[in-house]
Amino acid sequence: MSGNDCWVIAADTGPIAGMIAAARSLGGKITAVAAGGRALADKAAAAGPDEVRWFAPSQGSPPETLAPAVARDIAAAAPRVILSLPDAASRVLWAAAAFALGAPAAGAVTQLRAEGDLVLAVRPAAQGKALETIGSQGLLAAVFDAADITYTGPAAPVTEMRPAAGEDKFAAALRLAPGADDGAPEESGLRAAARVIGVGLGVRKRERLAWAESLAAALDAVLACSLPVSDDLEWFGESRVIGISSNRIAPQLYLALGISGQPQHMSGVRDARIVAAVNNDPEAPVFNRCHYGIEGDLAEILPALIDAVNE
Amino acid sequence: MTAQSVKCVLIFKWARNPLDARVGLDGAVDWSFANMAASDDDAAAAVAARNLSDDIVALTLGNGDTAWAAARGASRTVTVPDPRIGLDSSWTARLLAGGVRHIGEVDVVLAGDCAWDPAAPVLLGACLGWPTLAGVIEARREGGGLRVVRRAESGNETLEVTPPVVLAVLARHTEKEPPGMKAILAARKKPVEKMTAADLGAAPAADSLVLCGSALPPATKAQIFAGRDDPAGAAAQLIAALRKEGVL
Ligand SMILES: Cc1cc2nc3c(=O)[nH]c(=O)nc-3n(C[C@H](O)[C@H](O)[C@H](O)COP(=O)(O)OP(=O)(O)OC[C@H]3O[C@@H](n4cnc5c(N)ncnc54)[C@H](O)[C@@H]3O)c2cc1C
Repeated sequence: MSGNDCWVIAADTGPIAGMIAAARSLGGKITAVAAGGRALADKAAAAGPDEVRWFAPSQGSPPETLAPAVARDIAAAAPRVILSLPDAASRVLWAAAAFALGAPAAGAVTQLRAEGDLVLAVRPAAQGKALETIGSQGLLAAVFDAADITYTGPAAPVTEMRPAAGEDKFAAALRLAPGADDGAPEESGLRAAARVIGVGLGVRKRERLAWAESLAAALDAVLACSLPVSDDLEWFGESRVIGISSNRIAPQLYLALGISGQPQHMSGVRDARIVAAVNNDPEAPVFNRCHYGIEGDLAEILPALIDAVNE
Repeated sequence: MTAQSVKCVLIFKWARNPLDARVGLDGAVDWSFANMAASDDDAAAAVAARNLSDDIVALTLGNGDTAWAAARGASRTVTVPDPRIGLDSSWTARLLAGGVRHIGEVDVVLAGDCAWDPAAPVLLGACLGWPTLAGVIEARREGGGLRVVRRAESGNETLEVTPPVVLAVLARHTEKEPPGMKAILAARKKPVEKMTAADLGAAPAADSLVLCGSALPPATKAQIFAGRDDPAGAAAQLIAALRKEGVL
């Protein structure tokens, strides 16, 4: 185990700079593994690590096929801490490395620090009702799941890595299906939008959807929705759903209209800078997860908002 | 795996339900109320298992309903009644890997990709040394292998998979067709095999995690404008606040 060195794993987009900033509090060297295309490696390099080791999957292979190579590379460096982004592919690579190191493992940590001979990690417990601090005197492997930040320092050097002979044994077992996923769900511009308005079941009537559209036009915002608005009402396609099993977005503003604020929905906008909500129920959980809110009936508030913007 | 049959292990009720944990005024968490529970994601894994195979063996940790998976298609259940689940998810994974090895010839292992513990299912794949996919939303048989759809950050990805494989399945809703009374009663007659960690050859990681403290999260106080009596005033206040934040 070397000092408080930390390796961070990114096989998809996610809060890489936030994860590296959290790792900085440990005081050791930070090495990022980027498992994916060149763009991902460049993104990792610009997120503030000391060094990036870039593993590109072979043609037609998902990043998970790199698990043996990434695990070997990390085990050879023997860092004290390894962190993963929360997405599916990053976690698989991280798990292979954690197991190779024999590290104890924890899910969903949000902060790290070193204290004496301990490395400490903070994680939400009991659905965020408390924050537990867990510590290890030895190694620690954790999935990082907190907000991203913007890193403005210089980019780190990128070293291109190649799996050794026999290390791509998973490539025969996992193949991207050719042509299956053409037409990525990005036609809505949702992920890049600076302002997003979320439509929930509380909008209730289809004619009020037209008001939400007018408000979106006035605010230069993109419309999105909660899962039942897509699944049950079918007002929007699946690509517009925000939440844990759908899109995670990080706009400047998320305005939730008639959305109760269940954790499965709100985890999709955790990285939004400002969350505002309109709901007629003062006890709606969304009011505990927003910065600004209006308690009122959308039948009255929506037209008033359109007027207020146009004034 | 043969052309005719895929042998599946369905893992259920392997984590504690954090909704049942109690948080004191000082932020201390009392986990003693938090029972091992099947999650929505475990239910989605059960649906995926049934779509793949009618040869399903179930594996679970802890006491409680050992017939949950038997009511959802499993022919028998292996359980570790006293799993001593603590802070370290790698322990959960080591126990589960021991259980899968004990069950023997297996093509596909399925577990819920549950937010209660995002680490254990992928660590299980690592313990077994098998290819692993998480965030799986659909799996079916195609040709000699499987066709699996999983969620990536940029959208869904479809993969052609040759077993053995570990699939961590993500739910999109609560269970749509829970088993009826008849299936539940029949499930209670199916065999249950009890094992210990020692039987399964599970050994903990060399380092252990310790709980060093617990606190209440900082209160984030939202500014709420009353729009019931004065919709126009509340709307104007919200828009002004958002302009001041620089997000409009
Ligand atoms: C495994 C699983 C995964 C899930 N994944 C997702 C996901 O990815 N994304 C997602 O969104 N959901 C997801 N869900 C569903 C989630 O739990 C909630 O059920 C859903 O988000 C609720 O949608 P909603 O807020 O639109 O509706 P509701 O919960 O019904 O809320 C409607 C709100 O509107 C308010 N309201 C009603 N009338 C008015 C009015 N006239 N004016 C103002 N306010 C009004 C009500 O007070 C209420 O708060 C998932 C669920 C499960 C079990």
